[in-house]
Amino acid sequence: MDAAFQQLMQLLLNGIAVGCIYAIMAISVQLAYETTGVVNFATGQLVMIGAVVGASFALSGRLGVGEIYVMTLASMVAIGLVFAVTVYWPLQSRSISTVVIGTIAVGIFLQNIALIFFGPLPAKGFSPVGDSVLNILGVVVPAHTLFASAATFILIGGLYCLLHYTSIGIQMRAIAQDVEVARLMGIRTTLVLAFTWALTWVFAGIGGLLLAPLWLVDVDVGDSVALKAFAAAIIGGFGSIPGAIVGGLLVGLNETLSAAYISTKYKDVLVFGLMIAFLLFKPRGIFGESVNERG
Amino acid sequence: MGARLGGILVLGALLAMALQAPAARADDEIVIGAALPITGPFAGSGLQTYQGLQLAEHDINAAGGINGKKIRFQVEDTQASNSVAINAFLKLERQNAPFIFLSSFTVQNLATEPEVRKAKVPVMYAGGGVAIAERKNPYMFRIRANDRLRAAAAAESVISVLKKKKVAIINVQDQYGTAAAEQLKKDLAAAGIAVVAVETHGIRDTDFAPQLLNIKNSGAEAIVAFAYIRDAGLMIKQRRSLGLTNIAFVSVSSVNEDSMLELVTLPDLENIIGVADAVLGQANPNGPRSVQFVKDFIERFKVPPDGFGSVYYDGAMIVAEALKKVGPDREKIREYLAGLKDYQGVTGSFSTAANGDMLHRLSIVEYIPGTKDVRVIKDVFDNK
Repeated sequence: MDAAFQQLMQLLLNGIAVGCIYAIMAISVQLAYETTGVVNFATGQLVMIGAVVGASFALSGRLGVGEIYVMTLASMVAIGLVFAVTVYWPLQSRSISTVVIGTIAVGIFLQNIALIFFGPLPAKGFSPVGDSVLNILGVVVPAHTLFASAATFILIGGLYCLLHYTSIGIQMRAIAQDVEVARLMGIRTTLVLAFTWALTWVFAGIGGLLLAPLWLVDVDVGDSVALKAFAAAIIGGFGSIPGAIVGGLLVGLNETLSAAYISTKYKDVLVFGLMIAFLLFKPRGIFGESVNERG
Repeated sequence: MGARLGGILVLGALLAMALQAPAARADDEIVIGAALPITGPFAGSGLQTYQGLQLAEHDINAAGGINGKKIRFQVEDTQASNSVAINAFLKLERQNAPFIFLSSFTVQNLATEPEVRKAKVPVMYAGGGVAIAERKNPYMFRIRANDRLRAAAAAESVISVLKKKKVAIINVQDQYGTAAAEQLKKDLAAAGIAVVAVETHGIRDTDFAPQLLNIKNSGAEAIVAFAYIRDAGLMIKQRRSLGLTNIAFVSVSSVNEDSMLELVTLPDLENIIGVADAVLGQANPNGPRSVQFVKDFIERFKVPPDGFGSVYYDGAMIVAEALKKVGPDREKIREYLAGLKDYQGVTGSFSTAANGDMLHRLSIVEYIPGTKDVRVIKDVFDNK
């Protein structure tokens, strides 16, 4: 294979893998926004908690692969429900900005809690497929990169089916359209919202588990990637699940390709420049829906 | 009513924090300040510096303290922020600390330098930037080799150890990385070695594939990396993932730091050498003292010390000697440190040069096959 083409293939694979992580995080943002109207600024810290909890279970050396994933995601469900009970419901009758500030406070709180229990030093992440590297026609790919990309697409497919073909998903979409009308229609909105928050945390937790082996684990790991996830959500269209996927992949590929072919110094400028261009000229993003189309 | 009561409680708590007096200082203790990054992306080295001071505090007090008084190191967190670093220094200075330790980050040291000059309090710092010493602040003493020597050692690694002719540089995009890379380019050019690629990265970047692939395409035979601990670990892992272990890698600074080595596996370390701030234990010129230090450090903190932990330990011991001889007087401590000659610490030999630099040696090291331990290939000295 020609060296330049080989490099392009390598970069595309890397960009897609990075983009998948951003997409998972963007979906976590979208889920919360779609159903509750809240932009969750603690998303980066949610991802960090998933990575840190997973790494802690792995470091304990007492759990198998499946157990680590199940225990981590169960922890995320539990923390998500605690968040809903202690932050979202007490604040939901206040202005939306109050709830948003609440999410920022939760993010700071989580980061400090993680610092106390996990410490400031980075640690290796844990991958179910180990740290082996595959060579496909001269393009080298860590096995975990393939696992993370496949897991992302399976999860997104699963989420699509959940939202469109299950009772709870249809209820979530009804609430997204109008929570009061949904309540009058007999939907148990409290239960569905609790489920949504738990799902939001689970998606963020999966993002953390998937990124940990690629980018290491520490209490700041979610900070920089959260900004990219928001960029992905804005580019793809705030409130759109397909938008989160396309936005995530666009951000990941933009970052990787611009760093290789334009300048590593300006790769973030290019990513956020693209985001600003969308905000100026296409504020609803690629797949963004107007309010009367939601649901 | 509940909300009002909550508001009053929060206000009360904030007032209590704002009015909180500095930690009580007993008459029988001397409090030394330390403004260090113990949280945030610099915490990897910050924690070691803190632990070095903690161990020194224990050892000094166990040996009778400072003329009958106990010593205590009061730490303020600088995080990764210059403004937080300045505030941490000012807080310690206002508490009349006779001496203050600053962090090992050049940008923080540079930001704090004007305040040090105004306060006339002697400080030790470990940022390697040449620009700090160029400010000729008589109150600032560097307990770590400077970045000019670091670049010279990196050049020596390529020229006489690896014997490579085509070199790529990858550096963190900050004062340390940029200045060190520039110096290395000059040193290599002087030796007729071609720099075929220069790549940069941001602190906490996640994907180094674009830089590493550009380096691969440049035909480089060796990579010299100026990167912080986490970034260096990630870069080394991704180098192997991309199948680039055939290109020799020179890791500057973090090569034998435990917090970096924890992040990588043995196969990741193939074809890697590095520039180490300190080689501790039996291989150190002050062998028995260094061995004891490593043993005590591991016993206390359950991790081995690195070059940051050891130089801050040595710095604390030097300050303790100064306090014993001249008392807690800022000007007299400054004079004592300015005249220091051949202090034998656990890291190496400390002598203060005219520009305030106290440590003048770096080691080029390689990994002992099958282990993450290093052995010295060659020492590099500056001409103090």
